[in-house]
Amino acid sequence: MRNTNQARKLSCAVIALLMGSSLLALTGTGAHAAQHGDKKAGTGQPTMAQAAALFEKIAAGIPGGDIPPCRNLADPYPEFNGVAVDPVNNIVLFSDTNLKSLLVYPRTAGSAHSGAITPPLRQILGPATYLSFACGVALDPRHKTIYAGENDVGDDIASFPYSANGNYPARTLATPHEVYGLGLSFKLGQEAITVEQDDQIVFFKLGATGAAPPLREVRGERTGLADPHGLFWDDAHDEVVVTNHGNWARGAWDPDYQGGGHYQPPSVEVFAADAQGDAKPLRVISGPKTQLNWPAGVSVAGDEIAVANMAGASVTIYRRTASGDVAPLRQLEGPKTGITIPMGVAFDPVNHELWVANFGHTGLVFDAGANGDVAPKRIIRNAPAGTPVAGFGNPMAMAFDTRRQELLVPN
Amino acid sequence: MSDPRIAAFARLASGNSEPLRIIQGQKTKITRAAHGITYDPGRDEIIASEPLAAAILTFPGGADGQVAPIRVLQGPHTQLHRPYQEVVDDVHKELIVADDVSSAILVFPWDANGDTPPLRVIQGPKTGMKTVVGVGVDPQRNLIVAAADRGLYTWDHQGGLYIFNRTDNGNVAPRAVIAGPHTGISSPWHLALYQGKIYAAISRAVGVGGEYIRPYDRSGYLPKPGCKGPPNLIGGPLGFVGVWYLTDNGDVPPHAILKGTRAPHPSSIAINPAEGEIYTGERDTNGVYAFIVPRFFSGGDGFTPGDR
Repeated sequence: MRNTNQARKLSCAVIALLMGSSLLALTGTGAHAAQHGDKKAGTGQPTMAQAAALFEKIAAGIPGGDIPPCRNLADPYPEFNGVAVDPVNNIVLFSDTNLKSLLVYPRTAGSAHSGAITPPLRQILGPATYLSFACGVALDPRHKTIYAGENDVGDDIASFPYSANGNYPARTLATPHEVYGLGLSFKLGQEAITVEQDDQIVFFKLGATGAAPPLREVRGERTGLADPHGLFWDDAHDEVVVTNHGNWARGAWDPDYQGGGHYQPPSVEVFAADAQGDAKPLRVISGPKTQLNWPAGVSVAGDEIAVANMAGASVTIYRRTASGDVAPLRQLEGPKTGITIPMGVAFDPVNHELWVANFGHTGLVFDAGANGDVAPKRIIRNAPAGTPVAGFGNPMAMAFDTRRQELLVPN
Repeated sequence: MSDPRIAAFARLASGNSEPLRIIQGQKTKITRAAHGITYDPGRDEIIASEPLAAAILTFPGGADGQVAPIRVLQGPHTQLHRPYQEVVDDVHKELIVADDVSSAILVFPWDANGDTPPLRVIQGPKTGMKTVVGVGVDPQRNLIVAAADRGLYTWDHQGGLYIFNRTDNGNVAPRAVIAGPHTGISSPWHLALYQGKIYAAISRAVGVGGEYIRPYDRSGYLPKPGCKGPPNLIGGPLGFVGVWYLTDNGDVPPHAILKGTRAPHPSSIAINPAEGEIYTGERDTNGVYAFIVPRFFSGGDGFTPGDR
């Protein structure tokens, strides 16, 4: 193994060979030298691609290298997050933030009793799909199109035909960072997303691609939006329904803001479908009676709103027109339900069913009117029953607890 | 990310393992993807940064379930905007926070709670830092090291490692900057310090085309001028964990490196010198990796860290 002096000599030689001797000036030391490295292209400095290539050669001479890990914590199976159902074409769609995929199943797939993996019809997976950490999903039955919004790494809505499978090239639309919920309006021909960090709802033309700008947004202090998550576009009532975790920090995107962050109670907000700017919601469900605890996915059918009450390990159902501190009409909760970390929820109004995407390895199907601790009618499994859920979501921070000999990993 | 939590795994856990315990729920005040976490062994506390609430939360070391934090540092006087990595200086009893949006290093009393102003702030054009994401402290050498995702004066405005005196305050120039094409540093993330060395996760989180351009800026109002569409951020050149000395300065390659396809874009890092282990997390594989590299800590075989 070469020592670092050898690595450095090699790097200088590589630079000189690839870029010409003028670059050797950059190898000077000190902040002063680094500051004087601030020159633009055309001055002999390497481009990013050139720099990447020459660092590959430099790295080959540095002690260490491609050492195999002694341990690797990861879940080899998909982990469900969002869910959407199309009762017209009889498919159900789940997003998977672990393997970065979308899984399409027959609507009637799954079993109440089998512990085996439910085979999907198709799994969209691979670099051409642009899928990274897709959360919110939606289906357009008329055009047989799948939509998925990216919560991390990617900044896009990726869309696919129903027939897409494998490493299928996505049609993409650029979005702000941290998209969670996604909804479609066939009446207005628009699609809407929630953006966590910017506390906004952004509206685009349905099917927009590339860098098409938003048509409008809902954003501002009067909106009450605070770390918005799930979104359902209720075309029947011309409303957009959004859940909020309640975290708020304008400073997270505005360096000039000096007001600090704050927490507010979790909520379900209902906006007019044509709301714009700093619009007040039509109704807000919030307060201790609601039992909201990190509300995530949301769905509306008839006169009811269903909420994936993530940290409450429940699905709470409210009257659609409810407002204020109201108790749920009913809730699915308890060991028989199999609901542990519900992230997505979708009513199937045609077949009177309620779908729940349980973060990890199960999609659960209940009667739409189910209440209490009841078993699901069917379970879609993306892993054998009993498979652990490592449950990572881009492990970008980590600490080591020396007392307990534990790794602390946030999501 | 989509399932906010702090999960604790056994050090020797491997494969598809469930956490031993999870801190999660409305009461915890945790937000999406704590962008920094540290463990303070002296007081047995977990400290987590919460970008979406501009807050720093502290939990008892053994916290489990839906528990409230014992301290919440938040408010206009804190100057917190989007806190990322934080670290505790147990000698001088300080909490040091990297703040991404304000491009600052904020230093608080280690028991700061509520709307407490920082004791010191390293921030401004003389620092050369833009978007500070990582931070470490060496209380013996009286140094603070910050990782900035971008640089005001560096090559191609790429990121770097910025070394300051621990007691620096205001708009001050760093003692040293490790940055430049020889360093391989692009999109640095978190770091750890140990016996005169810097262990840094260099994610090199650039897109397939070799450029890291988000289509919108953080304000999320409109696509950036010239944006043609979203970049495909899966792939790109391999990142690495690099080791430098605190005495390094300039365009210096790392002295030791962990780099391979198993952990293509490492961003998080924790070290366990007692066992000679480095831990890192990675976005593409959505996994956590443990490497046994005792010589990275104790020298030998061509890499002699020593105590320079």
